[in-house]
Amino acid sequence: MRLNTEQEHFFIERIKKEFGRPEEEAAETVKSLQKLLYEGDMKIVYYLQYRVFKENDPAYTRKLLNFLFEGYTYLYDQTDNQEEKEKLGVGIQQLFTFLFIERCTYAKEMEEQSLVSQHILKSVSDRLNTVLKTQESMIANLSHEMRTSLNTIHGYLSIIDESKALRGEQKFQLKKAIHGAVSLQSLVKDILNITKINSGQLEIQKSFFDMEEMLLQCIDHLSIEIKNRQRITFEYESMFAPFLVYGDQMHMMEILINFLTNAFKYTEEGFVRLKMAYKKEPKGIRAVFSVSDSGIGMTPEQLQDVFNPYSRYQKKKQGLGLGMHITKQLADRLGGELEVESEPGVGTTFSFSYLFEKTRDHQPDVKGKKIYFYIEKSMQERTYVKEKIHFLKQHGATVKTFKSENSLINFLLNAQKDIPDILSVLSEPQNYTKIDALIYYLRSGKRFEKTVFIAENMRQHLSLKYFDDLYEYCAPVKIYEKLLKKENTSKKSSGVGLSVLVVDDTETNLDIFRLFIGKDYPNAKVDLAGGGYEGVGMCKVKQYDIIFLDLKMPGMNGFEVMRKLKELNMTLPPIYAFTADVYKSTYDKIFEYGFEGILEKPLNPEHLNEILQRITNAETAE
Amino acid sequence: MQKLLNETKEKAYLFLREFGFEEDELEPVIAKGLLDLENTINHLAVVLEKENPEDEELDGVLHGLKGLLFQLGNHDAANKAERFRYTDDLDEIRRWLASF
Repeated sequence: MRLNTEQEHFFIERIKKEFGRPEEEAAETVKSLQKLLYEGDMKIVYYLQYRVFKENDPAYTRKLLNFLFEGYTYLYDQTDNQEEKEKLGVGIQQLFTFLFIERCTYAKEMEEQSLVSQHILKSVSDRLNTVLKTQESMIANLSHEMRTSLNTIHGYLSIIDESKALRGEQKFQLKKAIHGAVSLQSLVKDILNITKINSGQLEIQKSFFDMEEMLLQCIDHLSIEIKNRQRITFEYESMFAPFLVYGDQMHMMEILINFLTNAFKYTEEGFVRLKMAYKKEPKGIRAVFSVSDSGIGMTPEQLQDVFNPYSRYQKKKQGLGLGMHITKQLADRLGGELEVESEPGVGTTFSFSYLFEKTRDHQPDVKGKKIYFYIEKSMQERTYVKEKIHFLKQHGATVKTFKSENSLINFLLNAQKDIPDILSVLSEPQNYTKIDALIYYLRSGKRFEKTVFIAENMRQHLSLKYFDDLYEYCAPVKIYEKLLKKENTSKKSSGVGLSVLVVDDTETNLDIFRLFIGKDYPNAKVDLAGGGYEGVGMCKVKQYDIIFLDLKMPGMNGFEVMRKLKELNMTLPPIYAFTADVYKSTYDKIFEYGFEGILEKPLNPEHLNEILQRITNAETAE
Repeated sequence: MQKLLNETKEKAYLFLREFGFEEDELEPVIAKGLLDLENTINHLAVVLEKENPEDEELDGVLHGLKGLLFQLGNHDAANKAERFRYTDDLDEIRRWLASF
């Protein structure tokens, strides 16, 4: 048996039409098909199986099955021979079976492959998560290490500062060193933040701060540059700001320090000017910080890629060219706006504008304090000075202003009971040295031993020995407050009456805690609890001034202790989380639970003292 | 274990002296700290002896070990303990323990 000519023609035409095969190939296929149907030769089955596999397309399989089904029906209808019909049935069944099995096998294989892929993906994802966690942990640990060393430097400098062993010029230098250490601490933090920017994990840490104080810290950071670059005049202009703003001070400082560094880098002579102005807007206070210079300036082309990474206009200059790129990223992340204007050969102005939506009135703690000024003539009409004096009076300070050198000297030599808490001098540069010598004389007596002498607005570096504090620019009111507070806190620093509870399951941690507190607060009472339950119990029977709470403890962990304490409906003192897990997630969680802050492990006495100082200050203020 | 204890003792003195403490102030604290450390390491060894230690228990011991080592100034070992908190390779921790 075999296909007749008409049947062959039918199949050849169908193959050409359905599968686009040429005549010869279609004729060969029909021959193979015939061999299967009438001789049981499986070659065509294997070939079609291969095609189905290779095409890997359900539409192709469907087309093939339709073709076979139609062909079978066509042949079946044309024959009356039962034996032939049966053979046809067997052949077609083989084809259907093979093709169907092939598709099913293929689908099964795909399913298995998909499962394998899913498994591999899950493993990779788990591994990546582990790597990310390890990195996060490494960054945190690295910050521990670097900050510990810097805190030690800062701590020792502060001890020298607080001991009042230094005055005048040396005090001025010490202050610069302290600010340098503080800036370095910020920079270390920032380096870590840059890593975080890249991984999208930069933490914005907002708090209320004084803009003027921030600007002076920026200037301090550049103080050596300002002093050494004698062909450049550094200018600073700021509006008086009787309010505190809520924002990320540290990152804003980095932006401004980058502006200033850049200005000094590209200016050979002329000026660098830092300026701050603000205005009220319906949604808050918009401050604009700008740094202008008379440097080399930039062409429009250079301006276009000034915020791109690794762009430096002069390759001989130091740096990687990352500063402005980081600045832009920081500004974007903070939600501020950067602007730059420049002209080749004339200079450049970078500005950062930020809308502080949250502000609060500055309520300086100066009530009843005597703050006296000597203001030389050219300064007397300056808006800034007038506003500052008005502000101090408004908040209860007794302000006296000496307008001539003679009246000041006369007062200092004759004052008996009217002794100021602060005496600030804003004078011509040559007069500071004269007053410095007078302070030396006054200190030999007892009358002015509690008076803080400040030299303000010196406009240049002066070598003064006996002033307590020196400022090249006008000092913000915050500085007065700090100086007045220092006087008060020294009385409290031994920790008389201070009651502390430390909860940690590791005995060594408790011992070290006690050792550290005892060093600077020998009179503080320190209770130790070795676990959460014990800690809660102790809080029930005693009122503490501050609690340090380990977060990870067996039994009741720190978060559970916190929740339990809140449920007790008692007045809770500030509670600090004591932990080595300083990840962002930890920060988020501790604030969510109502902790006052974090004290990181390993315990650093400087951090601890900062916190205890805050507590004692608050008590003193009450 | 002695190797780690000796190394930590040395580092603890260096680290805590940095903060201005005298030898006699530090001695009892460090001695107690080393005892704590020995107990924690023993605890870790016991946990690792189990065929399938519980994650939570292992993490708790490693966390404690890390804190203790940090506080005693052995920051390298503390970092290692922290890293082990995120590894599935328990044999690596066992090898580390065996190395001292």
